[in-house]
Amino acid sequence: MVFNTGAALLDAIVLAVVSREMEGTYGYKITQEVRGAIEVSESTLYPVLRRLQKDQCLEVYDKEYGGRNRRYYKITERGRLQLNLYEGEWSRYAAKITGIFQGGIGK
Amino acid sequence: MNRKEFMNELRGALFAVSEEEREAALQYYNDYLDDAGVENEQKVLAEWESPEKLAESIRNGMEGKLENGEFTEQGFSAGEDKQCPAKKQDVEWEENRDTGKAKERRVNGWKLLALALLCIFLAPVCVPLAIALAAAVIGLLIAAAAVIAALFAVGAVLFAGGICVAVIGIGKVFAVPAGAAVLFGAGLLLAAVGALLMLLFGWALLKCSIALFKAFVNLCRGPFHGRRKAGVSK
Repeated sequence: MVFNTGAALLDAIVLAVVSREMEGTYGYKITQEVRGAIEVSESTLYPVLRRLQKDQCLEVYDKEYGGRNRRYYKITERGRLQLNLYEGEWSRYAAKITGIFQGGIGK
Repeated sequence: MNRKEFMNELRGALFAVSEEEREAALQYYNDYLDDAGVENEQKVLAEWESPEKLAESIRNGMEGKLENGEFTEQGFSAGEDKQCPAKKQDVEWEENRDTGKAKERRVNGWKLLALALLCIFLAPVCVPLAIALAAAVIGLLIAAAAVIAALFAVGAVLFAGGICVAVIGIGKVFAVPAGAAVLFGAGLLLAAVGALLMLLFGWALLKCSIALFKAFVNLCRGPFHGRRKAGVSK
């Protein structure tokens, strides 16, 4: 992995991954999916998830699975709005970088 | 290290964190190992490196340090090189965060000491000054009250005098009717003015006395109210 990931981008990626599941998804699965796109360590995501939860972009609920309670994370309305924002920002950002690489003006 | 040892040490490493946060984190990582499956357990533990590192990343997240650093393959690296490890930080999530940053409550031992030293050094100047100031203020207040009391007294005298003149006037009504009428009228007038002054300054006197009393009470309470904000949490 050449480029490291800032906090905002990681937030966006986590929100996007969680938003794909209507009923929400759980920590291990989120981590594996995020690692499909960027290389982060297995310990990275908990603080991010916790913070998104505190910021009310994600909500949690517990569901029984295999005799234990598994904690699921689900995206909220606010989370969706935030994700939209991020996606727009990413488009602009990626376009600018690509423009610079290809010799166009960086605007 | 096996899973049980790791989780026990992680619990220990999170001692500074609130119980709610600690339990939430431990549940997350326990669930994670469950979901990874026994076959992946050692691999995951190896990636987590150590309970201390994991606890540190949890604390970083709570202190809002994530925004300044970046996420690499090895985990999170904070923006600054030296996170002062010697300083013990009592960290807590704020319950309703709109800004998205966790608030820190530090134990402000040094600040308190500096404040105390400052007070001791400035005392020889400040204490007499404060006393002089207080005395001046009290003096002014008492003077004001005295003036008002004097005016009240004037009013009382006018009132009493006025009544006397009026009575004298009544007495002379048969001897000098016109003069008596004048005396009577003037006397009543004086009495009225006197009564007005008495009312006015009597009320003012009352208010002043109350204010004086309150000011005195506040002065006594003042030093104790000021110290609450020294930054020490109980």
